Amino acid sequence: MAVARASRGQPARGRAAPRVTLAARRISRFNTLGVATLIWRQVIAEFLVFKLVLLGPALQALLFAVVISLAVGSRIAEVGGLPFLEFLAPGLVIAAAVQRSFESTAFSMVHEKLEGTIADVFGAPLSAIEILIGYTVGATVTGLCIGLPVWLVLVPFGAGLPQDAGAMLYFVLTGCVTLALFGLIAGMQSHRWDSLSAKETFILTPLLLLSGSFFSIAALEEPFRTLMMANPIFHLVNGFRYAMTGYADAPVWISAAVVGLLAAALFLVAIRLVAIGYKVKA
Amino acid sequence: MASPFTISGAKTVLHTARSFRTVIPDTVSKPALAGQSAALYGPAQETVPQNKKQSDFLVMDSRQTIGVSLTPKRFGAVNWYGLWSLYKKEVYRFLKVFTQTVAAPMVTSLLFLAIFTLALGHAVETIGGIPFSQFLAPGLITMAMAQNAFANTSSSIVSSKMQGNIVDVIMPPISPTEFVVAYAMGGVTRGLIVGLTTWIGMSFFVTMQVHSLPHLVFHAVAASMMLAFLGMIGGIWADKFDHVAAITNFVVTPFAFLSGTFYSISRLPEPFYTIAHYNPFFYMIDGFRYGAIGQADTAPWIGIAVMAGVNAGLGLMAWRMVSTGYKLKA
Repeated sequence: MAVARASRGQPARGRAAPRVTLAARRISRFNTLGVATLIWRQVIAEFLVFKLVLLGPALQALLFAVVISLAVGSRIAEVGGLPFLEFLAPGLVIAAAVQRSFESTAFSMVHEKLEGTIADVFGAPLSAIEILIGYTVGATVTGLCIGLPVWLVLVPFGAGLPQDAGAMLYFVLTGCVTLALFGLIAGMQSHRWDSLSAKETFILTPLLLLSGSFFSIAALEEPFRTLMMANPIFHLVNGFRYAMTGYADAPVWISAAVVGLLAAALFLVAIRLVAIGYKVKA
Repeated sequence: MASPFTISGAKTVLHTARSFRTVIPDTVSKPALAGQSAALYGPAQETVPQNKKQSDFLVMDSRQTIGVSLTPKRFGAVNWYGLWSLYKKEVYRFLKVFTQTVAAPMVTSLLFLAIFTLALGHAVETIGGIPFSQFLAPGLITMAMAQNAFANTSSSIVSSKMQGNIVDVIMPPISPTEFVVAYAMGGVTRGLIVGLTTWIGMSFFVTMQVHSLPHLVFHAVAASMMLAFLGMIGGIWADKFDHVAAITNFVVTPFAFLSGTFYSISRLPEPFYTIAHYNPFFYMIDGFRYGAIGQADTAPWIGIAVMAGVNAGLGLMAWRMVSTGYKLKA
């Protein structure tokens, strides 16, 4: 990377010349084209490779909604003054979005390491922050593309427009970025698929499922209710649910602070790992 | 690493050719030729030291120097050795990554049990006089078994196809029946191991009971086998991993979710109640639940008949695909 950077200072040969120039491309302080390419690659790769499978989360959410309406049936319970499915919908949307953000960075990191193509990213004239922005923004866009269909299929079951659009944007964006950064760290840390899937199964899935997306913390007994506050995904779901429905299990400003601080902390870890090329550069 | 000229290398070459005695292609390797002469003269009595060089084989046309049997392997109607090897390969394949294949499904099932009990426990306290969590547990176990049996055969076949090592299974003298049985048994083994660990895991949180052991075992095996066959059919049909993922997402998961895992189908309004009876997944969950808690939505013998019929049909279909070489042979 250092070599590639050094060539930045060289002047490009005459632009007017009709033939293809072989001179080094000049890059300003921020490699906009490089970052845009990385983002584009991340998003496009996702949609080209997975295609229909991207509808999986939406279908799964639909099944959850159907199954729960069938299981609860006429005895449909109110949770915090909301019909159960209306309570449930925001949790399903945000969970699907952030999980895909995690998988986007984590899968591509492990895949590229195993294939050896990671050198194409780390060898390109991209600084650590540019690499990080490329992966994270790509994953966030993917996460949003997953969350939106989930929300759409849940509309007939009572999902509505957000009550507080600003809070909705804050939580969904911070959530996707946080999980994308976590995915990047997990991906850089894993050498093989099964070590990554162990992290997903034993850390992410429990945090996601036990985040209060499916139930109100009022259903929990005391030690667990306090423990729940330690789950960052709970704060994400709580904040997002507040933004969508106006109902919150815990003060929203605390949730906003927890999610924001976590994103900042993970950012610092991730940028350090990318900068030193942890388990990537020899 | 065994070079192609060691004794074990020669053995491998011989064992993979069924009618070796009649045709020797020009390209056949030297140890195989040495083996051919052994086949003509019959096996000799003495053993050859393991680290023989290539040159040692060139003079091996006398029966004294050939020790370990280099004759073509003979077997009767069933190639038990091949069947067992393929089965072992299938089992080791998933045991090697057991956190992913055994521990992960158990954890996911326990989490599902927790969230459904927490979310619905206050709304649905009992189903047919049984606490909701006890009603839910057998359904979740069946679902875990089914999904893992499917994942085992489908991912095994697709990854073999993509890596090209499917020829290692198609080339050897393994008949389509042996192929189907070995793969299906691999899937059933994974299903049963996952089912058992999930059962043990759940018994810490929920009272698990056995109402009728024969029903329980029959439906555990039949459910795993049904999905193992389905996984084989899907795996043979699929060209890429995302085809398998599409089958999982759009076929297996909907059937499993809408089969009465989470609710008693007697709650369904009319058209759906009848439709639910056409879903084979319903019989597998219902039958397993009958074996566990003694509560069923249909008569137990119907469940057994349906499962046996569906398994026979899917098994036949898988056998047909393998024997015609559909998407397996060029």
